[in-house]
Amino acid sequence: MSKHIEAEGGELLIKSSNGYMAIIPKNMAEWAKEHIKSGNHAAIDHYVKGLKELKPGKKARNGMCL
Amino acid sequence: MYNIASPITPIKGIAPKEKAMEGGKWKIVDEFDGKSHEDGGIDIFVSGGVVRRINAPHHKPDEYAGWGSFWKSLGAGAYGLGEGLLDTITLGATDKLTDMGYEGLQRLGGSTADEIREQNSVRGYGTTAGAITGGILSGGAATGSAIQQGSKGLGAGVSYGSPDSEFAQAVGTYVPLAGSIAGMAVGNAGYKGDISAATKGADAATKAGDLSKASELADKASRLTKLSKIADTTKNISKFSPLIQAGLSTMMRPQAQPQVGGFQQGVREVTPFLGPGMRESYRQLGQEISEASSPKRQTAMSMMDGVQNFGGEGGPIQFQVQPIQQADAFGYLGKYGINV
Repeated sequence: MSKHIEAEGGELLIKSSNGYMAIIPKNMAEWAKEHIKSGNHAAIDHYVKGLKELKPGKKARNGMCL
Repeated sequence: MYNIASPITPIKGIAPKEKAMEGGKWKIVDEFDGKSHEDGGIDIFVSGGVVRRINAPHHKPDEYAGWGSFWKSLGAGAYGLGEGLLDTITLGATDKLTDMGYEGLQRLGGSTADEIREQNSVRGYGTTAGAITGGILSGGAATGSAIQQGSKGLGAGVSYGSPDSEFAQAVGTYVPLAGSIAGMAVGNAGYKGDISAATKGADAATKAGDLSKASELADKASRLTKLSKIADTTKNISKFSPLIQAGLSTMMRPQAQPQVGGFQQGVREVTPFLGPGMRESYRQLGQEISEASSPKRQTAMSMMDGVQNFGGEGGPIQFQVQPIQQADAFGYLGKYGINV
């Protein structure tokens, strides 16, 4: 999958040892940083699973993800 | 993302499962500093595990990340695992075919040069695990080929891509545990011959009137047959698949502590996180092995004895590969409360 994504200042790009990557919106960036630093990776898992998943072949609708 | 393993994996049931998100460790890659979406945003290009900033002010993006998003980047590793199994089961005869298939898939996916480089790196690690595991599951007969194939995969992982790639290393954590289980399988790799020998011995003992000996040998043949079925039956791949999902460096052990690289350290960090299901799988496999005959050292492994240097002098990975003793493996498992 190759995609051109528009992010914005304040957002966070993270990746997991299980091969997942995520862009955290800026209003949750500080929260995510704190949990990653404290080692609470399960909380990040739970949060990221609630985000939209980028998949091949799908285009943005209404200006938002997927 | 799509699983590129499934279109070419030739045997039902051996396509590797996609790793769950849970249980991984997250790391901050980048904190975007720049424009808001209203002001044009920050353009990034995502391709598998590769993310880079691009300058495309006049190009409408495919996605806006305003509310957050995530994606998987395990495709190459998953493919490598399937290909390793394929090559092992066919004793390497499909090497060219699978290379062509792999390259074709890369083209199909529109991979960039950076992405191809990373895919090749991950593919190497994945192939190692797949090949060695395939050796176990093909009943031990192909184990020598599997380990040679695994070495090739491991070397490829180091030489093609970035050995410090966290992504590649995450996939690489499959290797040592699979290797240790392969070691146990190698320890029992002669069971097929032993089945025949035990059966013939039982027949001979029966004819000679030694019923005690006949019973003992018949029982041995039965246990070995059971072990053989475990290895030969592909449905057991799913049963034991958790075994390749953690690190256990019994077979591929460092020569000395200073030579343990980050790769192996990562493996060791994973080991204590064995889940209950994984422990049960260990227990079952260990039980089957312990019920079988005493281990043998096989010539298939002897060719791999000694120090194996992958990635050149002073490279990031240096293992001393040696035949495993069954007791070593069980002793290691015992440290984690897995008593067999």
